[in-house]
Amino acid sequence: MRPVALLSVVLVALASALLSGCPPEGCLKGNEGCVLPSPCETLTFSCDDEALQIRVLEAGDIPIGGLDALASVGDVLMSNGQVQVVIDALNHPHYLAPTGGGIVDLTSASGDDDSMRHFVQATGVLPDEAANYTSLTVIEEDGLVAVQVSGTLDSRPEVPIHTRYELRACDPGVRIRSELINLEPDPISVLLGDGHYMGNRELLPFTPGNGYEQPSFGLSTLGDAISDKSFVAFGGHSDPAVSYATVSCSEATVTGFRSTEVALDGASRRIVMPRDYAIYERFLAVGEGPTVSSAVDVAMDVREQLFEEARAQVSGQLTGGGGMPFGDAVRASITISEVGDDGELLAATHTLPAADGTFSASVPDGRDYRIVVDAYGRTVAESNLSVSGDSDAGSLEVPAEGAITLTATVDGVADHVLAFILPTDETFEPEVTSGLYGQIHDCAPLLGHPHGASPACNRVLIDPDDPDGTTVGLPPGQYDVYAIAGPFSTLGEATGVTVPDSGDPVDVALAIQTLPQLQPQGTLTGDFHVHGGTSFDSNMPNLDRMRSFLASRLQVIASTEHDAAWNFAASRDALGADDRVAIMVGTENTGHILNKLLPDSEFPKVVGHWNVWPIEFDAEGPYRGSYWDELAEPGMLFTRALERGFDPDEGVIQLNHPLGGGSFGRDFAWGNAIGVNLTEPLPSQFDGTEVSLFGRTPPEASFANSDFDTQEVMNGTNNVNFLIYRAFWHWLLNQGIVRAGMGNSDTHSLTENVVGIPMTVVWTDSTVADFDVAEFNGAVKAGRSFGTNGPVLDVTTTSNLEELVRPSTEPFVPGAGASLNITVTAAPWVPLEEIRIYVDGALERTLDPGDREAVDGITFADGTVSIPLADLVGTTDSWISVEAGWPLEPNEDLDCDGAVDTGDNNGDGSIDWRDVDAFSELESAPEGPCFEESGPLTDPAATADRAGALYRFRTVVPDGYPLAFSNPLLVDFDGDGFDAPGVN
Amino acid sequence: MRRLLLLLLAVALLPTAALADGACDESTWGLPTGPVRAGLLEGELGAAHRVCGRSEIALDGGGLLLVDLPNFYGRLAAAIRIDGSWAWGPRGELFGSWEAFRYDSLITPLSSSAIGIGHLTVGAGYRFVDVKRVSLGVNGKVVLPTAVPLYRNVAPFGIDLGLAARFMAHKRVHFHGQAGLLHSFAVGKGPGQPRVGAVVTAGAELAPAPQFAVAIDLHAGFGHTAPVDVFAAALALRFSDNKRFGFSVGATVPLLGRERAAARVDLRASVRFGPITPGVPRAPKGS
Repeated sequence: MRPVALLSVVLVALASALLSGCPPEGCLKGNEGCVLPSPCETLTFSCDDEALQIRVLEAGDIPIGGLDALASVGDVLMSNGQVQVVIDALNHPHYLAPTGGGIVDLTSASGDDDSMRHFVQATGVLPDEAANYTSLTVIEEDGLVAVQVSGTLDSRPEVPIHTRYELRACDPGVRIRSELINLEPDPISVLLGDGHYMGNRELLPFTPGNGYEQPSFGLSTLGDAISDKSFVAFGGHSDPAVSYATVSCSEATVTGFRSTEVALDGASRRIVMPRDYAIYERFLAVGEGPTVSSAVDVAMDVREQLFEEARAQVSGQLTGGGGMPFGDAVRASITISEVGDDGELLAATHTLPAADGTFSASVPDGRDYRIVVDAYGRTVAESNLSVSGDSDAGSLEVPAEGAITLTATVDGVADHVLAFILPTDETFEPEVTSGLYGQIHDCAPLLGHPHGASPACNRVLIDPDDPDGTTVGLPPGQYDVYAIAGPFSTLGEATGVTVPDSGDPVDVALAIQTLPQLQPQGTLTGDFHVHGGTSFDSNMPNLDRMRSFLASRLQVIASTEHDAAWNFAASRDALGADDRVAIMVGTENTGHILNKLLPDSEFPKVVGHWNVWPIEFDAEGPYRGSYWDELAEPGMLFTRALERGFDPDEGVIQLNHPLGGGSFGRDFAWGNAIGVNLTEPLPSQFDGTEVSLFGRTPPEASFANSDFDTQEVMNGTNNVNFLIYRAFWHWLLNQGIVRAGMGNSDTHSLTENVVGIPMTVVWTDSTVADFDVAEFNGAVKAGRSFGTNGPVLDVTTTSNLEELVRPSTEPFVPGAGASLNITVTAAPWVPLEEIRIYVDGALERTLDPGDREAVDGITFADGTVSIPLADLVGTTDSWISVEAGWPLEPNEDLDCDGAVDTGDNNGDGSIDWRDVDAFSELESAPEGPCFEESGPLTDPAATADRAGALYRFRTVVPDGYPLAFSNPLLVDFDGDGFDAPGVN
Repeated sequence: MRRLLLLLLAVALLPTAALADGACDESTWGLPTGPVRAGLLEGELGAAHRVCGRSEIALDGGGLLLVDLPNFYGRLAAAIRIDGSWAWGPRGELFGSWEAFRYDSLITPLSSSAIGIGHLTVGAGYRFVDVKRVSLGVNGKVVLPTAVPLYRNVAPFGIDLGLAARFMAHKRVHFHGQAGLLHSFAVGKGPGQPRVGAVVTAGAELAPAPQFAVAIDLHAGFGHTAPVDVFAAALALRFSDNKRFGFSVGATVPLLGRERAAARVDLRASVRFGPITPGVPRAPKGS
C-alpha cells in the first residue's frame, strides 16, 4: 500500500477512535432507552411554592379547564405551582399531528384558562415533516419532571426525532429540547421547531418589531414570511385566557412564520446533510391573563438570563375615560414600541391596564419608546419615554367614553336578545370603524373582541336576568340599535340614540313581538352547523354561546364542534335552556393532515367538512365523544362515527359547504377536493380518478363516500356561496342523487355568522318538550323542510291519492290536475321581491309575491300562488324547487365548470374577464372562452338607503339578502321510481 | 513565490518514461481521457478514475440537479473545484480535488441553502499491467470532511478502492472500465451510519480527430444506500488544442435506482504538464 493511502487510513482510524470515545449525547446515536439531556440548563426561577408533579390522567381527575381544554384520560399532566401542561397520549393525535406526543393543554396554575390548541414538533409544512411519535416515557428526577417522546418524521423512518418536555419547580413554562437526525441518503431542509396550531379567531401572534402585524403568506410565498425574532408571543384575549411566548435557549433568535391559524417557530432553517443532526432547545413561557405582555415579561426574563439582555419595567396610569373600569380588550390597551433610528415604531409589548387604569410591562432597557393608548380601536393618547432602568410613564388621559344600558322584552317579558348597534349615519360610521388591535374584523363600533364574549364587535347579548340591564361602553355619538327574536318576530329598534361622553348610561329599551303565525304548524326550527369555544376557530365562552342560542329562538340545535364535541350541559343548566331548545351533540369532521387521495394524485388534500349528529358526549375523551378524523375518506369517517356509537338510522350525516373555499392548502369543500365538474355526470363507479371517489366505499369502510343524508345549500349569514352550493345540489338531483337541502349558520361567534341565520324549518311530529331524536332526524333526512334566513316558504301539491304533498326526498305520483301551491310569508322587516320556480335546476318562472297584507296590525306578506303542475313539467320525471326572497344578482360561469363564479364586479353592465380579481393586472383578455381563474361572486350590494327594506333587513342579517329555498318535489309520473333528468 | 514557480516548472518538465506497451498512448497530449468525470456522490466518491496517470491541473465547474415534484423536493448543488494530479514515476499517480467554492440549495416549501467550501479528495493510482493494448491498475481515494458550512455537527468520510482497466481497440477507440468498493461513514456525536457499496463503470472513448473525443459510460452502484443505488449513463465531449490544453463537458444521468438526481454536469478545463509526446500512438509489440 502506498504511503499516502496508508497515511489517510491511519488518520481516519485515529479520528474515529478519538471521537468514538465521546460519551453519546442525548439520543443522537439512537441508543435504546436514550434520554435527552435537560434543556435550557442555565435558566433558573425561584418561588415560594415548589410543588412539582407528573401523572397520567385518570377518569374523574382531569383538572384542566378553559375554552381550548382537551386533556383526557391517558394524557400526561405535569404541574408545578406556576403552570400545568398536558402532553397528549400517543393514541390521541390532534389537528395537524399524526400522533400524540404534543402539548394539548397549557394553563396557569389555576388550570382553568387553557388557550393552547396544539403544539407539536415539525421541520416544515409538508405532512411528512411532522413528528410521528411512537414512544412516550415519563421521567421523574430530583427537582424536575419530564416527558420524553421519540419517533420519526411521519412516514420517514430514517429521520428520527426526539423531544423532551420538562418542568421544574417554579418554572413559568416548559423547557423543551428536540433532536433530529438525518439518516436518509439525501440532504433535507429543516426548520426544527414547533408547529403551533391556533385555528383562527383565537390567539394573536406578537413579535418584537412587528407587533401583531404579521406578514401574510400562502403556500407558495411561505419562504418570504419567515423571520428571526428574539422571541415569539401569542396573546389570548378571551377571559379566562393565558398568553404564551417562545424563547430559544440554543440560538439567539427564533426563526419561523406566524399567522392566526398556524405558526412554525424553531431553530434557524438549514440544510441537514446525511448523518448530520439538529438540536433545538427553547422555553415555552406562560403568562396569565388575556394580555400578551404577561408572556412577554417572562420571555424577557428568560432572555436576560440567557443572553444578558437587560430589561426594565415600564409602568403608568390611564386616567379619564368616563368612570367605567378599564381592563377589557377594547376599553383601552397600551402598545409600547421602541423608536427606531428612522423614527419607525418597533413594537416591544402590548398590555391591558388593570381595572384602576394602572399598567406595567417589561421592555428592553436603555432605549427610547413611544407609548400608544388605543380605545375602541382608535389611538387616543401617546407619550414618549426614555427607559433607563424601571421607568414611570406617568399618566395618560383617555377620552371619556359613552355608555348605553340595554334592555329587551319579547312579548313584554325580558328575554335573551342579541342587539346590533350601528352608527346612525354613514358620515359618522368611519369614525367608529376599527378592528381589534388592527387585526381582527373591522367593526362599527367596536364594543369588544369580535370573536369573544359579549359584547363582541357591534353586538351585545342582553341579559334578561340583570335587573339593571346590560351596560356597554362605546364611543360617544349617535347610534341605532336593532334586534329580533328570530325570523318570526318583529324588528325591535331604537334609532337616533345619542350617546354623550359623560353622564349616566343612556337607556335603550327594545320591544319585540313574536309572530308565531309565521312559523308553519308542525315545524321546528333548527341550526345544524354551530360552533362554540371547543372548536379550534372559536373563542366564544360557552355561557354566551348558550345565550345566543336562546336569543335566536331556535328550537333545535346540533352542536357541531370541529374535531370534538360539546354538550353545553353547564350552560344549559345555568340558563334553564332545555325547556326552550333541544340540543343534539354532534361533531364536524375537519381534515388537517394533507394526504394523497389516490396514489398518483398530484397534490395531497383533505376531504372537506362533514357534520355528524348525534354522537355520545364523553367529557373525558380526547375528542369529547368525537373521533379522530384525519387521513380518511368520508366513508371511513362515517365508519369511525359508527364505531363510536353513531346510529345511522337515527342520526344524520351532512355534507357541509360542498364547493368553494379553503385555507392553507386545505379544501373546505369535498367537491373541490375531488375536482367535480358540474357539466359532467359523476362516474358510475370508481375508475381510479379523484372525482370517482364520490361514490366509492373506501377499503375497510362500512359506508360509501356518498352515504351522506343532507347537504348544505345555505351556509352563513351573508350567504355568499349560495349559488355554488345550490349548483352542486341541483347537479346531484339531476343525477338522481337526492339529498335533503339544509340551511345553517355555521356560526363561530356573535360576529361573522349569526346563529340561526340561516336556519332549517323542519316539519316534524316532535316538539321541544317531547323531542324524539330519531323521528326528528328522520324528517331532516327526508327533506321535509326548507331553508331560510327570513322568508317563510310553504310549497305543496297533491298526489294521485289526493294527499297533500310537500317537498321531500321521496318521489310522488302527481294527481291529475295537481297544482303547485306556493305560500310565502315573512315578517315585516323581511322584504320579498320575487318567487323563483326551478325545474330540473333551470329557472322556469319568476313571480311577484304580491302586495303585503296587514293582519292584527302587523303587516306581512301573503303571497299564495297556484300553478298547474302540467304547466311546469312535461310527462317525464322532473323535480321542482322553489325559492323566495330578494332577486339574485347575475353571475356567470367563466371557468366552465358548471357553477357560476363571477359577477359584475366592476359595474360596467357585463360579466367578463374584467370582473375577475386575478386578472386585475391584465390589459387584454386572457385566452378563453374558459378561464383558469374566476371570481368573485356578486351578491346584492350594500345599500345607502337606510330607510329601504334591504337596509333594515341587513341590520340584523349582516351582508345577507332575503332567501328561502324548498327541498325538491320529485315528480314520478309513472310511479316506477324517480328517473333523474341527467346532467345538461 | 519565485521558488514555488520554479518548483512547478520543474514538475511540468519532468520527463515521463516511454511506455513500451499498454493502452496509455494518447493521440494528443492534452486531450482528457478515461471515464466520464461527473460523479454523483460527494467528493466524487465511487467515481471511476483513469488508468493512465498524468500530471495536470484543472479547474472544474459543475452541479447536480434533483427534481422530485411529487415530494415537493428539489436540490441544486454547484461547486468550483480545483483538480490536480501528478504522475509519479511511469506507473503511479497522485491526485486530489478540492471544492474551493460550493453552493447547495434545497428547494422545498421551506427552502434552505448553504455557501462555503466543499470536500477535499485525495487519492492515488498505480498501473501494474501494461501489455499489448491493455493497461490495468488500481486506484483509491479518500474524501475528507472539509465541507464545514454544510456539515455542522459531523465529519463525513468516504473511501473507495477500484480495479481499473483500459483497452486500446484502435488508435482512435479505447474501452475502459472499473470495478470497486466504496465505504462512507461519519464521525461525531451522531450515528456513524457506515455504508458499504460496490460500483461498476464501463465505457468507451472515440477520438475521430486528435482534438476531439467522445466518451460514453455506463455506471452502476449497489448496496451503498439501496440494493440498487443507481444505474446511470454518462457522456463526455472532449476537446484539445492538440498541445497541453484540454476541455471537457460531461454529464451523468441516472436512469434507475434509488438515486433521485436528474443529472450531474461537469465542465473541466485542464493543462497537462511535461514534454508533449508525438500525436501518433505507437503500435504495440507483436502487431
